[in-house]
Amino acid sequence: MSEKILEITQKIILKNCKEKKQMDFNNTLVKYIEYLDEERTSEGKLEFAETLVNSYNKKEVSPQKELIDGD
Amino acid sequence: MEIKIHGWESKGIAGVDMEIDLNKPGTKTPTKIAMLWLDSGGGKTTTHELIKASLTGQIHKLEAEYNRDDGKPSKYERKRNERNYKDTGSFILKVSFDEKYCVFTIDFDHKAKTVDMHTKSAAGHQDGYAPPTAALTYLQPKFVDLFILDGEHAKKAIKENSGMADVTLNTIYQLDRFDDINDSLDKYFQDEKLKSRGNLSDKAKITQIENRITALKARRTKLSTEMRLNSKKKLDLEAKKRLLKKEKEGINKDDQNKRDRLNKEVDNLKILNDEIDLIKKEIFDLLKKPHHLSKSITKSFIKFTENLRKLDLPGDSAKEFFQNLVKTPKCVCNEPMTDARKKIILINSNDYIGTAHSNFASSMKQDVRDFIINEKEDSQDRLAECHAKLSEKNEELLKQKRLIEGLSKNVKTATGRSFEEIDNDIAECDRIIGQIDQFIDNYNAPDSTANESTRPKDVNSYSVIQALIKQAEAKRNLGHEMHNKQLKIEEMKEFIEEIKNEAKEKYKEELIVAMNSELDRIIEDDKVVITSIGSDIDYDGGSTGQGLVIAYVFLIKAFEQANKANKFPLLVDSPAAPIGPTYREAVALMITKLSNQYVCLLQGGEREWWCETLYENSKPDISVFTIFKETKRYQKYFDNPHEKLKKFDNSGIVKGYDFLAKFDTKTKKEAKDV
Repeated sequence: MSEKILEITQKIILKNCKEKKQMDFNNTLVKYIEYLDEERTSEGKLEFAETLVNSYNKKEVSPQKELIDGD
Repeated sequence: MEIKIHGWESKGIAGVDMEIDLNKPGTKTPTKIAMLWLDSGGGKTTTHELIKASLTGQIHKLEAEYNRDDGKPSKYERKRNERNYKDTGSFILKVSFDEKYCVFTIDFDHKAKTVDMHTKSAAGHQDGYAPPTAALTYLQPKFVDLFILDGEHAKKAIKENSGMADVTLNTIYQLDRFDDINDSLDKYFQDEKLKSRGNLSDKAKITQIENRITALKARRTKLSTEMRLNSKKKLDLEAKKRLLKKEKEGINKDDQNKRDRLNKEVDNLKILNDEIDLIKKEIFDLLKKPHHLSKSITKSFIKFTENLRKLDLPGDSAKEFFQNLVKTPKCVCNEPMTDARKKIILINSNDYIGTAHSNFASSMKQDVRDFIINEKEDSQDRLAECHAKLSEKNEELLKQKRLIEGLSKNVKTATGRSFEEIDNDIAECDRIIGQIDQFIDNYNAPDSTANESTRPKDVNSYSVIQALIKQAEAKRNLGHEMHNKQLKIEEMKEFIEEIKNEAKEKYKEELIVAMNSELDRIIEDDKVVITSIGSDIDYDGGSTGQGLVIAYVFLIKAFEQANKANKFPLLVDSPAAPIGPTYREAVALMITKLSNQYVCLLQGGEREWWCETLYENSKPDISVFTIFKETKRYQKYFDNPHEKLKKFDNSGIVKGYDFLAKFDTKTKKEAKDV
């Protein structure tokens, strides 16, 4: 991605991630986009995807809670 | 990344042979503008397609042309009846990526119907498609489509519901990176699901597992309760059995005689059983001799001995006769007994029966006589006797059992109950204890046949039900984990899509401002205003002839907005035909102001209002080529060649604008004649 596009895109990513308090996700997403500009392999993409999932904060529902809700 | 096209060579393929060098004389830098005029059949479209194939490496489409469904020859092959038909051909594209040179060669073998590619660069000569890695991002087919294009393709971006504008923006601003990321998230999740060996992400399946766990636990409770109750029941039954046995021992004095009689008859029953066993044993001993089993066997043995007797075998057999004969000085024919004769007689003597055979037959006869004929009557009689005796004893046995049964009913215990009643109770206790023992065995034994699909109600082993509960709980927990992961990824994908759309809107806003500014400068009379860019470009005003103008402005400004550091050549096939004459000059002027390299492949009437503007506003930074086939129409240019004519196998090329400006134009007289 060219520097100008990356700069604009990064700003938009940062703004959104700040709003949602996802700063770890912000950093990983930017690194992932930069990686896609370089040599990219399907293994590399999968590794980044995993890191991205791990960096995203989502309040997970426990099995018991969900069961109670479901019932 | 800066990509430049430096030239190409085309030989032996559809269209004309040509060598195009776009570099400025004595340099390795191409001119900013290049105009190439080719007449119909000159291979304009072929050149455009092969440049694209060289840059993307997609040569499979070229090879597929040799195996067309309609059976026609490949469109990259010249017509077979052409004077200059060749079995092989090649297309060579010379490009640079950030000033690093790279030459792509595509070889056609029309006879073998194959297409090969090789690449020459600073890395050396390599088979296949091998551009610099850094350029690969920009050489993906959908990206190359944006800078190696035909006029009609560009026009699709305008109000044709083609979605072209959207695709173009995604590509130029590289917003498709977000799509790549979302795709990789999907792939990651699919892999995780495979690893977990289950498809347990949806809630319905988790509920299904929860239900199974509940059923298994209920079964476990039931089994435990039954085990407890059965164990207690077994103890009670054993105690009851002990009491019943004691009850049998408590006898009334009045019944003592009856009890003694019963015991005596029970002893008699045992004796009777022993006698029957002895008779049976004797019968079996008799049956061990096979001739007692069947009359036909006996008959066949007797018949056999009779036949042997009828044979009347001699005491001295023939074999011995010959053996004695060789000892005499003369043979039976009165000839002398020589060694040769002795040898022949002895060999032949083996064909006759000897004493050993006669002895065997005699022994057989004797055995049949001793063991079958002589014994026959006695054994058969004995067997009949045993059979009669056995029947008699069986009847006695039956009577004895009935007698004991009757006596048992009459013998009362101290409780007033008969032995039979008590025995029946004991038997019932034993039956129930047997059932309980079976239950306990099942409860304790591991059931190797139980698995995930076994119904809880069919499981009888405690250890198995424990294992199944553990297994299902593990699966449920994994299902929850996967389910949460799926929800998380869906949420992430939505978030990424939001970011992408916001970025796209931002780029669109800037692009619309830039496009309107440029259009305002180019189109003076019939004003055009871009109102929005959705999947296509929407605008107010203007006429249909302005479609390509807007498309050009869209592409050029989008590239400019994206990044001035990235420079791609704009190679356009039929660049002016779709533009009305009114705007050709304005668009041509706009093109000369581009910082990118611009190459156009012209034909027919595209010269007017286009070439002169391009030339006058970019000279000397422009290359102009007139490429024509050696046909009757253009023969005069070969008969009376221009000083710059470069002749090829089936074509001629003249470089320079002056030649193009006058090429194939009619004189006033010719025009009048027409």
